Amino acid sequence: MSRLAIVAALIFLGGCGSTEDQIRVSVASSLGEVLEVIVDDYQREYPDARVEVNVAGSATLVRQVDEGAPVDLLITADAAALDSLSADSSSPTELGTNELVLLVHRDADPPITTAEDLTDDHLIVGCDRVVPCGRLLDRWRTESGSDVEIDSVESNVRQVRARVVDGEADAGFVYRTDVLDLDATETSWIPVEPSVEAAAVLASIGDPPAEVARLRDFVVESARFGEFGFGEP
Amino acid sequence: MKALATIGVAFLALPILGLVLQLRWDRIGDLVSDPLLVTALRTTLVVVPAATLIVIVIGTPLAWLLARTDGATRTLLRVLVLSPVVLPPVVSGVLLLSAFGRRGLLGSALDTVGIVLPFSIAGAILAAAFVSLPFHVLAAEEGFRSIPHSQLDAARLLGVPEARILRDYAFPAATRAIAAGGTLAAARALGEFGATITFAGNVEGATRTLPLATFTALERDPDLARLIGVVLIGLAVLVAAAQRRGIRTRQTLR
Repeated sequence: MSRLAIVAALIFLGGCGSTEDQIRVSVASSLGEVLEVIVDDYQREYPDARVEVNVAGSATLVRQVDEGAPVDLLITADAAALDSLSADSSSPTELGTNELVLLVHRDADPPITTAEDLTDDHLIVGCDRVVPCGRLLDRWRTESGSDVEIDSVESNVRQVRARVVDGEADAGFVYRTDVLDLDATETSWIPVEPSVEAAAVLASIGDPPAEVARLRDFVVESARFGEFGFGEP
Repeated sequence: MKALATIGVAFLALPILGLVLQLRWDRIGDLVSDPLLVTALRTTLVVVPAATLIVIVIGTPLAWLLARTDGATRTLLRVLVLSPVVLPPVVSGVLLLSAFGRRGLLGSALDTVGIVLPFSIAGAILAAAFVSLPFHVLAAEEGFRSIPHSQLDAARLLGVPEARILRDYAFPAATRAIAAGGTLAAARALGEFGATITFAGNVEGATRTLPLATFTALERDPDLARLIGVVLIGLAVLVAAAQRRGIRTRQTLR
């Protein structure tokens, strides 16, 4: 019994001690890949820095912070995601812009070449309106007057992409940056008319210590966003 | 001993207490009629009984087979039956996609005749049945194994066909175990989340059961998510009570 308690205490203490000097970055699904590349760049420049990246839908990230998750930098796919944040945070800095596109599987039947080809017979996926890509979809539906029905709502944009890539869904609404690296024989993508844009933003939580501020500036100044298809903010 | 047991009780009870204390009673009137909750409750009340029925219908003969098998075959069958319990539900969802998805082994054939399981209520039922099947099979197998061999052997010696032995001797002798297994399966189906969202998606009115509605509500309105949690606890209590009642009725019959 007492040996068990000691082991438990060691595991607990070990878990606490190892995370003290770590910088924690929470990043929206659509920006997960570019941020991991930027963090690699950062760690090459500052080998001692310890950065932990947490990827999820913007709404999940905001909820995690409000429930007390230790997060230093928060990157969401639009500024509106931060509206419901009740924790203390800096004013958001824009990182890059993105736009909504329609990702289509090649087997979609009847074929889809524009958003107007979408019918009730197609399985169509999109984001929940609590996340930025879902808000963007709502905005596009209002601006275009489209009455397209979304069959399955996903909590982040990468789940939407996965459903179409796997062929379970015929089409899905995602960001332009989500489709640039996809295999063009299985899927294709179509810009939507009128085009709708969102700007990804970064905010620091609480009062950032020097090393967090250093990473924040590094991310904001990184040229990687352009490489991954994000537009100039 | 007692101290550890107390820790166990507190470990299980504290989260429930916390949830109930966080309920917003001032909003309860609006929250209970929220379409997210109402639609998901309706979906759950279809998915759970349907999945339980499937599990009992195909799981009972499987348990009978297991109870009469020994050696390597039995080990192999047991591993197969246990796999949905051991695997993370999200992996079960991936497995189901590879078999019943539109590009899956069987799913692609179904797709050509116009049957698509993902994103449909049938898909949600399938996912719930897949993960809850082991609970029923293992309980029913225990029941079948506890029937004295002499009775069954006597019937076999008299030349009674195997199907009739199951129906007329084994099934009545193991009803309590079968009912207990069905209840366990229903409880598991009620809580099913990962395989459903992976395989069947989050479709309002079709696959968004109460656990998926909790997940959806968590990001829209956490108060609603907590209320759905309480509804799920209530349903779990009902399932447990149904089992207890079932056992007592049979005991008094004896």
